[in-house]
Amino acid sequence: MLGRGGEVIRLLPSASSSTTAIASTRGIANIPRWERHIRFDPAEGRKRPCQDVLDRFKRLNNGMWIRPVPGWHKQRYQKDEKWQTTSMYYETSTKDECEMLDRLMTPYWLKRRHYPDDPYKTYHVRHDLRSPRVDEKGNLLRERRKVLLEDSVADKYFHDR
Amino acid sequence: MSGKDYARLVAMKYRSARSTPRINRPVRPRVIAWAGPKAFYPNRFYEIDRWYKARIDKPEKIPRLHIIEPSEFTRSIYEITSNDQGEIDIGFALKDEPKFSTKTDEQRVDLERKARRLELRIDLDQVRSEDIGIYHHYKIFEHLFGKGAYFHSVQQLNVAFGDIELYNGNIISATSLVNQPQIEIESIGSGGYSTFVLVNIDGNPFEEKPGEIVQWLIKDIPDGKGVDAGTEVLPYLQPIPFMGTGYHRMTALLFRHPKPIDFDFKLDKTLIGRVMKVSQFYKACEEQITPSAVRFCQTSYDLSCKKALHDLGMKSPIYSYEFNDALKPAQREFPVKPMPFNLYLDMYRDPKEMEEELLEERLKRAQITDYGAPKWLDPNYNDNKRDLAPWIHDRIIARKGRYTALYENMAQLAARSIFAALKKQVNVTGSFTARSLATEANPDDYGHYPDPLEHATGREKKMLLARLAGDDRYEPKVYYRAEHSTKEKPNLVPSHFQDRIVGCMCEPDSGHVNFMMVRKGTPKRCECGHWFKAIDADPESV
Repeated sequence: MLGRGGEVIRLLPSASSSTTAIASTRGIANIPRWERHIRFDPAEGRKRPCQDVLDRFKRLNNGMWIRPVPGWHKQRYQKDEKWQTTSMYYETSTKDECEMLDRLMTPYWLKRRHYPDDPYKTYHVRHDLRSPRVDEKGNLLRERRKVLLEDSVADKYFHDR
Repeated sequence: MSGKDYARLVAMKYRSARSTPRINRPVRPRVIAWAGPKAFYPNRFYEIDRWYKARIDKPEKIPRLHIIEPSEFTRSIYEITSNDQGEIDIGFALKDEPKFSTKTDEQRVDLERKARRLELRIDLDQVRSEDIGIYHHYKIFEHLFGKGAYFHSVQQLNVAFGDIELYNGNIISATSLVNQPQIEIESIGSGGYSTFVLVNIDGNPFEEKPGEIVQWLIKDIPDGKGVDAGTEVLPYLQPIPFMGTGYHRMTALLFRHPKPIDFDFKLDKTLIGRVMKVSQFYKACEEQITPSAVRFCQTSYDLSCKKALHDLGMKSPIYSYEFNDALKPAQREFPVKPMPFNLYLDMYRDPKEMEEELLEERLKRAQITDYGAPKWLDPNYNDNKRDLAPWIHDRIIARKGRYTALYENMAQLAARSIFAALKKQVNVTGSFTARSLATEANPDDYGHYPDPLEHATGREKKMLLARLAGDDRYEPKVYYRAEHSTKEKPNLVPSHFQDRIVGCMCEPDSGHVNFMMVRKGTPKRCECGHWFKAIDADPESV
């Protein structure tokens, strides 16, 4: 689940830079150079999931990434009533963002997962959507794994598509 | 360029400059945007010489001028030019009575002194307001006799329901109108007859038969005699404003005619048989009758209306506004603008499924010991505010909107609000004088508590009827659960519907019941590991 804690502060390892320990705030304008590409873990022998994405986003089983509003906790007292409510929303990401975030993950994080008492339970499937359910390879795109039925049959027996 | 043109086109200051600022066009354009090239065609009206200026060749439209009589300056141009004949007085001429009495100087001084000391008292019974402005405002004449027709009340007409009298649009509760009113008609002393009509202008629910509902119709009442001397065409029926239709205008009309009248309108005692167009009635007897008095009151739904409808062998309809569904944009798989994910996805979910979810949540929250909303919105507010995602915390706090259903039975809520509305209408007389402990009220004073059976509809009504009949098929019951159940061998739950709500007492000692909705065809697993499946119930044995 997404944490509502304070901002993440990273300290550069003192061993690498013995002269000065610089406390830098990780932000959109200040991305460390090792974060500017997908990292490869030689010990594992495969790519490493981007920890910042895991910290800031949540992926629903239907492929949608959601995130809190940027800067929701900044200067709240001087912002208006509308902001007080709308800033608390968890927002959707665009298609490009979702695809990019998927690429930053390993297959482990893209698996569909089901937990007891999951508050997101109802949002793991999409409803009332008419776009195709499979990609060009025939993989189901945004749903729980199930038998692929013809659309009219699926509409008859399932609430989602 | 001639010297004249040079002087015209080049400003004095810049004559010697190499490039000069142009202050006017050297050549007149041959086309003007607003007039078009047609302005320069040779035509018979204008010779194109050096004085010619481009014109619109179409004659300009000048709005028609109206000559307005100085005395009519208050009427709008629409009223003056429209074709209707204006207002027609279909009644008798008003008596010319001096409106103001002349007073002597002593009387004036006396009046002034009284007014200063706030001692002037006006006897309201003596005040007789015959201003028909309020009848125009409520469109009584327009809806009864058509546009423009009106008349003055020239004859005294008193319609009294006990102490309550009909004036000009006073609000009277429907309970007070149950019994037939007493009617006094002023005697003119010149013989002749009167016809008395009591109509409800807004009470007609029948689309196939336009008109007003005639509540009472007595014709040929001899002048100076009581109502009993006349011929009762239709007996009195209390006005029946249906629930949700607001105030109805109940109007008493008096017509005068020199001879007894005869008309053939098929009227009978049923509600649809009472529908008659007053304008048609007037048109049919126009030669003989002249309206001489009018009174009206307003009344709205009451328990007595339902009783009256039941006496007529009808059901009491409930009118309510049918709202359109909220407009929603077409769903996109990935919305371009960031959207609050829960609200966006909820917008496109099946409302029935969402109601189910709420019901399950309601059953989960409301245990047997503590039924109803807890006293605090959230006892662990600080912890939850810190730890939970805001949209989850909002659901805990939510009491409004569709979340009302979490703690309120919506059907009961509707019945309660109806009862509260009824209670407001009933006259409360005694409660101001003395306040004591609440005691059970006499049903004659307040009416009975509305029986839920009468407000319930559909499945809810069926369930209530079954309960009265001693049939327990809809009642919650406790079943034994199998000790071990799997998906292949689930606990079978008999159900008369497509689904059934089942509460699983996961551990025998705990008071907590875990509710879920089990659908037919698909087995469902409780969190404790037991499986349930709804099957068709035997209709004979439950």
